Amino acid sequence: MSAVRPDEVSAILRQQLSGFEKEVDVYDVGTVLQVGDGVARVYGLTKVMAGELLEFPGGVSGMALNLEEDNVGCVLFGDETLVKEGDTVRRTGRIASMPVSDAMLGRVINPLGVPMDGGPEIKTDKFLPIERKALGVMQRQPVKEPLQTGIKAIDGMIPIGRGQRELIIGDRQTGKTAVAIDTIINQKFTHTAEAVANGVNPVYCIYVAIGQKASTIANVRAKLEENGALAYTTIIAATASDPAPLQFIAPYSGATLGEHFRDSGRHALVVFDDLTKQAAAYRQVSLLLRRPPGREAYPGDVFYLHSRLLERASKLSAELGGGSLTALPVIETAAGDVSAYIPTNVISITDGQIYLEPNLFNAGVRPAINVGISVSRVGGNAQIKAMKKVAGTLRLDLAQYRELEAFAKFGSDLDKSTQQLLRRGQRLVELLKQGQYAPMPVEEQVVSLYAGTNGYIDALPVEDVRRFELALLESIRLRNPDLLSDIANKKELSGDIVERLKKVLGDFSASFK
Amino acid sequence: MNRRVANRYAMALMGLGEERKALDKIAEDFREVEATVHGSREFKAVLMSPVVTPDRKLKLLTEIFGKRFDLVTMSFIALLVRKGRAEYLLATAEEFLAMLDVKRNLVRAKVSSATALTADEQKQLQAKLEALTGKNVSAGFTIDPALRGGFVARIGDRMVDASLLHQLEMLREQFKHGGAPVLN
Repeated sequence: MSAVRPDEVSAILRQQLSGFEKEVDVYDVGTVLQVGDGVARVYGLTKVMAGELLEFPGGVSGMALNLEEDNVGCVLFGDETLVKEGDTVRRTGRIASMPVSDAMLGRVINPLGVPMDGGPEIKTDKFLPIERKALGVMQRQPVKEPLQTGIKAIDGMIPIGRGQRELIIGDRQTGKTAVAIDTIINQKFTHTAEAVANGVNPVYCIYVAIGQKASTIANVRAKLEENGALAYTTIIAATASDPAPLQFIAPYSGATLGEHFRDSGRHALVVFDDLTKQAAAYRQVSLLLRRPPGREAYPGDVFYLHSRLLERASKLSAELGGGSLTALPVIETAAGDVSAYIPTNVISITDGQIYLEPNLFNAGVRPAINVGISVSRVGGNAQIKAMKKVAGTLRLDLAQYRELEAFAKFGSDLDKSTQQLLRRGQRLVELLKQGQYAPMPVEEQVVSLYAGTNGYIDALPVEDVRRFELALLESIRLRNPDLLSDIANKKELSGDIVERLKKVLGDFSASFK
Repeated sequence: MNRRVANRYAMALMGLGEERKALDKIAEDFREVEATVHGSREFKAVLMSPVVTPDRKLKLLTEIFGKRFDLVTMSFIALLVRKGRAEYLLATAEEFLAMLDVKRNLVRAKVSSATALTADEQKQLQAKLEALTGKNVSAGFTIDPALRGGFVARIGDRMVDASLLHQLEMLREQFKHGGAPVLN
C-alpha cells in the first residue's frame, strides 16, 4: 500500500465538502415499541404507506407491512440487534424499491441491489419498486419466440417460449437447479453475432437464489463464470443466513430487474430457486406479524404471493417494444408429493411444469425429466418448425413405449411391431440423456432427434446410442457445417434439407462401428 | 380498547364543555391531572388498581382536586370513577386535550436548540413553523447542547431538523459513499 499523502487527502475532502449544502431536513419519525425475530412494532409514523421503506438506526432498513390502529408492523432487512426499543425510525417516503442497471450483469447482489461480491458500487439513477403490478391484457401478446434451454428433452417435448412461466418441480437432488443453470448457459449463443443474423435476440438472465447455502451460490457463480455465462447474468442472493424478509422479497427483486430489460425491448429470463423456501420465509414473517395462519400455517394470501409474482412474466406487445420476461420458478417437493399446498398452487399458476423424478435420476436417466407428466401449455407455438416436425413423432414413440414398457421383460415372446416399439423407445430414452453444463444448439438437437425418430439408431446396441450421437454431430460439424447453419437459419426442414440430411445420416450410419 | 373508551368519554365532555363554555377551565384541569399522574407513581397505581374501591378512589380524587377544579370536570371525574373506569382517566385527559387542539387548529411543537433562543428568534421560528404546517403552533423550547448548533423542531411525527449534529451525520454518510448527500 502506498503512503497516504496528506495534501491529497485534504484536496479530496475539500472537493467533497464543496458540494455539501446546509439545508433544513424535514422528515417523519416514529418510535420503536418492540423489536425481535426480525420484526419491529413502531409507534408514530403517522402517514406511512404500506410497503414503504423505513430507516432504522445503524443503517438497518425495513419495510412497513402492517398498518394497525395504534402501531405499524415492520420487517427488518438487516441485523435486528442494532435496533433497540425507543429508537427513532425515519420514513423515506418511497415504496420499497431497488436500483436497476445493466451494470448489474455479471454481479452478485442482494435483493436491495447492494453488491455482495466485493466488487465496486453499482452506480445508477434508476430505481424501480420491488412490488410492481403486472401488466394488463392490452400490453401483452401471445408467446411466439422459443427460449432454447439446450436440453433435448425439454426443447423437443416441453418447449418453453419467451414470456412463459414454466415450473421446474421435483424432489431434492433430482437436478432442478441443473436444468435452470444449463438453460442460463445455453443463452450464451443468443449473444453471438451469428444468433442475431438468424433472428435470435439476446436473453439476459437473472438467477434468484432464495434460502440457499452461500457455498451453493458461490458454486453456481463459479460454474456460470467457467462457462462464460456470467457476463449476461445477475445473481440475486438471499442466503439461508439472511433475514426472512430479505428472502421473501428476493423473487420480486428478480422480477423487477427482469422488467428493466423487458421494458427496454429486450428479453430476460429469471430463475426463482426456489419458491418453496420463499413461501416458508413469508410464512415466518406473516406469523411474526400476527397474521392469522391457514393451511399448513401459511397465511391466507400465499397463493397471491406467488400469482402476483409469476404474473409479471410477460411478452410485451409490439407497440411496447416486444420485450419479454420468462420465469422459471423452482419448487421442491417432499417425497414426490405434488399435491401438497405450495406445489399445487404454483402448478396451477404456471403455464406448465417440468417434472423431475428421483427414480429416473437413479436409473441414470439424466436430466431426470418425466416426459409423460411434464407439459408446456403455450411453448408449442414458439417451437421452430424443424423441431416441431421431429418432436411430433418423438412424443408419440415415447408415449407408446411407456404403455408397453411393462411388457419389456417378455422379450422375444412379443410380436414384431411391439418389439420394434420397445426397441425404438429404449433408444430414444438413451438419446435424450445429456450431460450437465452441455447444452446443445437447436440445429444439432434437430439432427439428433431426426436420426432417432427415423430409425437410424434402431439397429444399434442401446449402450452405443450416445457414442453414435456424439460421433454423428462431430462428423457433421466437420464435414457438413452448412447443413447445420441452414437448419438454424431457415428454421424448418424443407424437402431439400431433408434430402441432404438423409444422405449424410445414411453415409454416416454405414460407416459407424 | 383503551383509546376507544377514552375517545367516547372525551367527546361527550367536549360537547358539555362547549355548552357550558368551560372548555378552557376543563383543559387546564386536565393538564393538572396529567402532570399529577405522571408526577406520582403511587397515584397512578391507585387509579389503575382494581383492589381500591371506586368510593375510595373518588374520595381521594376529591381531596386532591376538589377545591380547585371546575364543577364540570369534577362531576365528570366522579362519573368515570363510579362507572369503575378510573383507569381511563389519564387516557381520557390526553384524548380531550388532543381533541381540543384539533378543534382550535393548534399543533404542539417541541423545539430544542443548542443555545438558548432569544424571544425574537423564538417568535420568528414559530412563524416559520406555522407557515410550514398551516396551523397555529404552540411551541415549547428546550436546550440540548448535544445538537452542537442549530435547532430541531418536532411537530407530531414530523421533524424539522436544522441541527449541526444532523448535518455532521449526513456529512459522514457522504464521505462514506463519496456521493452527494441524500436528502429526503
